[in-house]
Amino acid sequence: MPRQAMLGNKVRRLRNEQGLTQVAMATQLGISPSYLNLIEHNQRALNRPLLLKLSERFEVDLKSFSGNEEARLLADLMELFSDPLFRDLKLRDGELNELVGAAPGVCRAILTLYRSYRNVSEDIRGLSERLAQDPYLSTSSHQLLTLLTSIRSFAEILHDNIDLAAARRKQFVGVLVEESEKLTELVNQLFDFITGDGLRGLQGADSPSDEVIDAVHRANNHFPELEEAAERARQEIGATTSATSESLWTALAAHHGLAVTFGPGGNGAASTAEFDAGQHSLRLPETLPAGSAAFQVAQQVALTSMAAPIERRMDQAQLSTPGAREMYRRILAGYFAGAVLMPYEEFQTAAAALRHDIDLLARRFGTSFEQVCHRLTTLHRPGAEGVPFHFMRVDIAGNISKRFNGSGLRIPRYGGACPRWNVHAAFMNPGRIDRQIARLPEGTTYFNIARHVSKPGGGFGAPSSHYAICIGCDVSFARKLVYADGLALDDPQTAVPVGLHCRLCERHDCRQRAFASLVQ
Amino acid sequence: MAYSVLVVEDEPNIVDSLSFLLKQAGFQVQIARDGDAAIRVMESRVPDLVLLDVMLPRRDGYDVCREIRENPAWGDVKIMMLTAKGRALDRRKGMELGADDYVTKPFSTREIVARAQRLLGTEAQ
Repeated sequence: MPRQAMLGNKVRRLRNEQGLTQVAMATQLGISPSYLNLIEHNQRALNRPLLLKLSERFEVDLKSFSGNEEARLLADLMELFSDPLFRDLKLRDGELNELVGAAPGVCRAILTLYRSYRNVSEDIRGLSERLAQDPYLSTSSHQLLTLLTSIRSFAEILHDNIDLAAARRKQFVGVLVEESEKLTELVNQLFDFITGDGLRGLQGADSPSDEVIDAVHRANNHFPELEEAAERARQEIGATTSATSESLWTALAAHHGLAVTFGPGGNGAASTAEFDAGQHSLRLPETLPAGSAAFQVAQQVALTSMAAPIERRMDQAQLSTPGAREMYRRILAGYFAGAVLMPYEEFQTAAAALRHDIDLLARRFGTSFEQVCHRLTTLHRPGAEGVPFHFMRVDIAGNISKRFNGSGLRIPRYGGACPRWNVHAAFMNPGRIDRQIARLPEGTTYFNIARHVSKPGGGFGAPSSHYAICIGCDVSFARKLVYADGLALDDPQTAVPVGLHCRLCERHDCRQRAFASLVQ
Repeated sequence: MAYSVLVVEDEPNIVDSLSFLLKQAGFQVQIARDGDAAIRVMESRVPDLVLLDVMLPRRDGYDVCREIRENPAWGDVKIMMLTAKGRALDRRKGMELGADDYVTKPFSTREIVARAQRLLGTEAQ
């Protein structure tokens, strides 16, 4: 909204402060009451001569009528109300504008409250993540299990050895009593910790993407029924190992009666497909690579032909909002698509044989670097597991837009990742694969590879999207990756000391720290 | 000749209970309280089986397992890892490093003896 338009609110406020009717003020300004009314409702601009008259008649400072402050306040309020917290709130047109005009002080108070809420939410989320790795809980759980093992062991010995020598029996009973006392004390401490004020209200409302990410993790990113469906889909169209992406999607579309057309991609919409349910047709941008086209066709086939298994998975996940359900539906459909293009057994065999060379796998299966990385994180078929990988995709602003913690690495849920992870450095070397051995403060070491990828905008002038993809595993699995060749994996000097997120990190001397740590 | 077992564990009560039962089952038992001590013991007498705790002082059991497996002279030694780390991922890590079995706490010592006998392929003498 133009700054001048905000002045209508100021004029009305001034008139009210002066205790004047519209007729009275209009007379003083030498304009008609109806014209003043239009000005107050931002239907007419407050021109310079009128502004000067206002200033003279009512001793108003001209600077306060610049409209800058109201414009900024309105912009801040609009950003506030775009928070998913207010997703169900329906504001009518102009309501915020009226609020800013009528009560700017109240608007500033609302903004202050919201910023406090955001800060507290962030702190709580940080603490919640911190608890998940809390050394006290980790140590206590180990102590608890060790005490239980002791008690169980001696109880079994006493039970099974009735004719145990008296001195031995006395010794073992003494151990039982002692360990039971320690166990009682430990349990009481844990209860105090759990029921203490510091833990109350730690869990805030989850966003749809948080809920969906949790659902994927609970399933360990492996959906056997979708794998079987993908295998059946390939059999139905007679897909062979050497099938090209184009032949695959052509046969798949024909088998499911899906008409596929190609058209110009919109600005920045090169990877967007449009499905017409009435015509049962899928329109794809003509700039889409063949592998991506195959993915989109397979994903659409899943959405239209596999509603039942997908709905069952969605019901199991018990997602709380329609937005989360829709997101999960697309992810499951995408999983099916990945399984069609990269069937489990062939892909897992190829991955092992090629030592997880992602570019070679992408070429073999006609897919992208990112799609191969995704697929590598799904190899959890019992008895035929692949390397347990973690995966993250980071945009150029450092936002983690995709993550999967399959290796045990706890990728931060909120905020960006530790700046020392090589996923960030990947932007500096487009096209090259960056390798890193990264050690966390508690000693766990991971082997990561990262690479910049870009998604074209669709034509000259259309903005591209830039991401960095990182995939990695516990260093104990690194020798299975071609990328680890030549690296001294066992040498502690080659590992880069990293954390998870600055707010959770105890490396207080880190020169790349971006935020103060919550950890003492 | 009796089979020998090296128990690598820093919790005294668990060492006592395991030693009692293993000896009762006919095994010869050696004890090491940490990873470096375990390697020293193995250098003087190679056991048939190592019961290896993961959470050890200074070096964790994964590191010790890796070192044992890197020594060709110890290729026949069986390794059973004992740990509170019960995630499937932790188990896979242990097996990837060359452990022959992986038992999570709180385990039954009766079960440990039975697994030891199975790993060594015969009843203890």
